[in-house]
Amino acid sequence: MSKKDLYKNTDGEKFIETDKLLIIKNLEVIYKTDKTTVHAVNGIDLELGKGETIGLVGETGAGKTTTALSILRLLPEVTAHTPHGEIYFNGENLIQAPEERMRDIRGDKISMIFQDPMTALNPVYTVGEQIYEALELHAPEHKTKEELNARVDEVLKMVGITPERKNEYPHQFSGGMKQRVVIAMALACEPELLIADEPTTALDVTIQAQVLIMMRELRDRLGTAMIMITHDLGIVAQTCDKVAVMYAGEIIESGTAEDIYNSGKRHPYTEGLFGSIPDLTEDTDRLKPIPGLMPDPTNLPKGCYFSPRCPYATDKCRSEHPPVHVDGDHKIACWLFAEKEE
Amino acid sequence: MWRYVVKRLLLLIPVILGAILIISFVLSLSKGSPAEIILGPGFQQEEYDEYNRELGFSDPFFVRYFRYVGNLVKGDFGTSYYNKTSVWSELKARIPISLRTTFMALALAALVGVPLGVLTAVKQYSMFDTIPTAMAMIFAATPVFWLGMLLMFFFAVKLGWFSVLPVGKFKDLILPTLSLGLPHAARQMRFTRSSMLEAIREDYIRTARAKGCKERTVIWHHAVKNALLPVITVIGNSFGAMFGGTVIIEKLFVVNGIGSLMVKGIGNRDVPIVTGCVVIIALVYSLVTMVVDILYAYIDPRTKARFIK
Repeated sequence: MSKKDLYKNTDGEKFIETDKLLIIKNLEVIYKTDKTTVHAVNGIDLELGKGETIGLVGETGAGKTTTALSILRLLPEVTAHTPHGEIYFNGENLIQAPEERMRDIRGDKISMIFQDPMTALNPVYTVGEQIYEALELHAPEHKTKEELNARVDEVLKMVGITPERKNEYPHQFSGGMKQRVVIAMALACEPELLIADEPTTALDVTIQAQVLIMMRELRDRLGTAMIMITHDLGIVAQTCDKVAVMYAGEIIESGTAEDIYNSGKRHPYTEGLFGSIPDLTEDTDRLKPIPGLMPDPTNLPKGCYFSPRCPYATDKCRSEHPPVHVDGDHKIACWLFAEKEE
Repeated sequence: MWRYVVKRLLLLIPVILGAILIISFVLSLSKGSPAEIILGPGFQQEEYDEYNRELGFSDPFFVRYFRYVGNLVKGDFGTSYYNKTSVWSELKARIPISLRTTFMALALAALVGVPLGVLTAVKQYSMFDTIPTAMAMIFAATPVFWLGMLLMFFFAVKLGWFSVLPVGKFKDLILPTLSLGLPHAARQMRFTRSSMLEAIREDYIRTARAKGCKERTVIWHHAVKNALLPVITVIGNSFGAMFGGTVIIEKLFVVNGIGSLMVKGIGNRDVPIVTGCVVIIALVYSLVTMVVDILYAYIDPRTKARFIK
């Protein structure tokens, strides 16, 4: 069995009929080394319609980036395996797609913006060359060099950079400007899905706002669906239609932004996340962080993964995995709500 | 860019002057004057003084130094103490030989070492990594003279593919090139490998993959250009080491290069010959370093930005 085959599994179909842009079913990702097995993503389900934006929220190490990379199949080849799961993009199962097909999809149909713009650009090529490359890879054959170069100017203008700067190298740009270049590169081929992996974490706060507003505008103009990976609930509130909260490789709560922010029902972990945001209207001296740390992904606890930190945890939580409580679009994986139903 | 080149060329002057100063000083400290060596044991004191005066060796150190530099500016490398020939005519005959051997060995080292380094990094932990890496360890650890002797033993003596005493045909260059080039190939391979391993883990490589680049483009277009920067320095150093420091190979394969001339000169206390060799080696080394720096600027825009304002 070659390394590439370890990526794949034969779950589900090669193609399905659907009007959803992206469907993830029971996705599981492990990182296997000689000594340990890291359970990074443990059976998540996710659906995204065309033009929708979903916020993927969670602490560092919750499996957000792994989920994103597995959609593009860019996980490290040697260690990462996908033993279970299906990822349908426009009905096509990407887990089973051949590598050549994935190359056509990457950058053209699905693009990704990475966390750190400082290192995401190749230092020895001009920004123009790097955007041009993305266009050239996916351009139809009849396009001429001039047309592609004109498009480079156009996308640079779109992200607010004067086209004259295309002959400059990444080190001549500031962090915020570099992230604009990365965004221009990602949007150059007008993808149907944009995955933004903490696009503003490495930027300072004023630049963060600029970049976010720009991304929102471009998304609305181009009708791109988006997965916004972040640990900042404020960003989610500003940009997302739907929210999925990840914890220890699972989606423990998902629903519309309305469900998460305003309905009375919340997963105890989500509640904890909100509790750790400073509130301007309340007069408190301290934040209320969630006590403890995320469980070790090489050695996950029995039962609910959040139970060791959960203030409401019962014996049942510690021994049995919680069922998913469904209320319309709002899904919560917690015993608290399952018991109420009974 | 040209201003930078001119600046670097002007910097050669103090480097060469310094090299002459150091070698002259070291030679003046060495035991035994040239006259002693040339006249052999049992000479007369008058004969000895006469000889030293004739060579200008009785003058104070700095007088000799400035006289040498003055002559050098006029293009005169002096006359050999030992066999009274012009030093430049000796050098002129040997520089092309040394350059040819060095270029051939360097080409072998770079053409074998760098691509193998890339391959081993890309196929890390596979058979394509472990076998070349093990080979590289062996070659890097083998003393040059022993490798040279083994090659000569097998290919010239046992198999008779090459003549043991070279007659100056192109074929005769193959064994010295191999024994000189292979250890450097091993060094360059190991260096390229580690540099490449670093480069392929960079974020911009993931960006390139996310764009939809072919794996070949990712490696050769995006990673190699970044990984080559430190490798170029190592290749430059190899050049310097090969040009003057290959006396053993020169002796073994009867290649009359700069290195063996210098060693002969040292044995004879032949100051003009030794100094002449040092000037040439220092000059070549400095020029190679300059070329490396210019290549650096050519590949890396960040370095270039510092040179050109």
